[in-house]
Amino acid sequence: MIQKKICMLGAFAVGKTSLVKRYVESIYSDKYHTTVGVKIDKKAVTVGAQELNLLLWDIQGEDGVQKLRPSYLRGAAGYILVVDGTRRETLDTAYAIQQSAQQTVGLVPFVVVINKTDLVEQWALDDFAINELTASGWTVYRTSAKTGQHVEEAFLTLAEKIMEV
Amino acid sequence: MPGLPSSISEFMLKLVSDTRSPAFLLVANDGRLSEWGGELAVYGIEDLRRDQPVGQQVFFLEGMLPLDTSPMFLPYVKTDSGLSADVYLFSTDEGSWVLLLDATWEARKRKAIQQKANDLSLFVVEQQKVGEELQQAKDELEEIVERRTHALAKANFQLKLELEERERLEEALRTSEAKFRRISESNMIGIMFWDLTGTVTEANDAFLEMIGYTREELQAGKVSWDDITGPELRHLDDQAIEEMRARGASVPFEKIFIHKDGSRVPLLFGAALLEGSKHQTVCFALDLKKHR
Repeated sequence: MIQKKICMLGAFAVGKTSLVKRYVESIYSDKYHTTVGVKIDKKAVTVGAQELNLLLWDIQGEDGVQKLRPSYLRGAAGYILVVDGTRRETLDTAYAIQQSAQQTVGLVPFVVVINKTDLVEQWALDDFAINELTASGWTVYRTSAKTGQHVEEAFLTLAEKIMEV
Repeated sequence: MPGLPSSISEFMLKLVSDTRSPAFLLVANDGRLSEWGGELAVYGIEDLRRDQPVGQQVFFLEGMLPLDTSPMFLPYVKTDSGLSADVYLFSTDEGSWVLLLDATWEARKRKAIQQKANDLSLFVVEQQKVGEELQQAKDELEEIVERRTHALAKANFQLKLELEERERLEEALRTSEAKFRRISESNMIGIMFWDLTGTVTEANDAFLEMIGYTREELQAGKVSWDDITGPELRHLDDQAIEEMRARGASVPFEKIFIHKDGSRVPLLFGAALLEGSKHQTVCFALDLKKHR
């Protein structure tokens, strides 16, 4: 079966692990557990008539000290940039990571996920900031790992984009 | 190992072997697994098949191989068994080597530190947010206070102006009343207040003297217009009333009052409606007998 490596990228505590858990296992926990290194999960999907395995690399988030390690990105067919809607600075981190990822793996497909719509009343991102992303041609989803909102769509869209390449 | 005695090298190898569960894979340049060994089962890597694509058997190697010339390091890869492995990849003529060393203990230690650091960072971000919200609330409150203070100052200023105006009017009224009182009390002319319904409500001494009534009689309401006015000249009163209603005051005219003793008193009479009233008048009467 075809296998495609997808990397979950973003600042720390934006919900990368929660999104993978929601997508792969349909579970969610409110408790925050930081990721060290990388954890790899597998999810079988069908795109068109094609069955494939998505290998989801949940990579530890960036913070002031830890930067994205390029070796984790090697061989990625695509990536998901995760932003925490309640923390404006995580969007800036996402911009920086996207540049870094592009240098490492080239122009592979990616989608932006603005997570935590369940906390939308605490959001620090306004429509203007989000529209800027879409205006630059990026595919953006507003998701909630807690409720599952748009999580599946985000992963499937990326899978479709990968298969179009 | 260069510069190290063989005893040290052997000890180090034994140390790694005893404490870090080394395991390896050798992958041919076409991506197929050609050889493996060591403690792979510790990492949950089992049921390997020779000459089959390695990415289908060891998922974290999907897309990683073949390597460039430089070695690669993947720290803390969480394996299927739950252990974390440091994964080293390097190339030789035989193919791409994958070396796994147990890093679980190091990963746990690192996770504990990182968890605290991230929790602290999130706490700081939360505090900053709370601080910003408090500052915003404070700014809004200050703006409201400033607006209200301004409105209050404006209202105070307006009130002060109104008070000053009222004091000025009261002073003017007091002055006017004093002047009028002086005229009335001087008794140079007769002055009285006439209610058009027919009652004389107030009068000075000069007027009472003209018509022969006492102040007690006046206060008892015993001085009526009909009693002191000759019926033959009543039409002049009616004309004066019309003039007052039209212009506020009548043109002074000669009139005759009937004295209490029945005698006739010729006089010059003028009247004006009190301000804001349709019935109350102030009148003057000049005794013509004394002035002819």
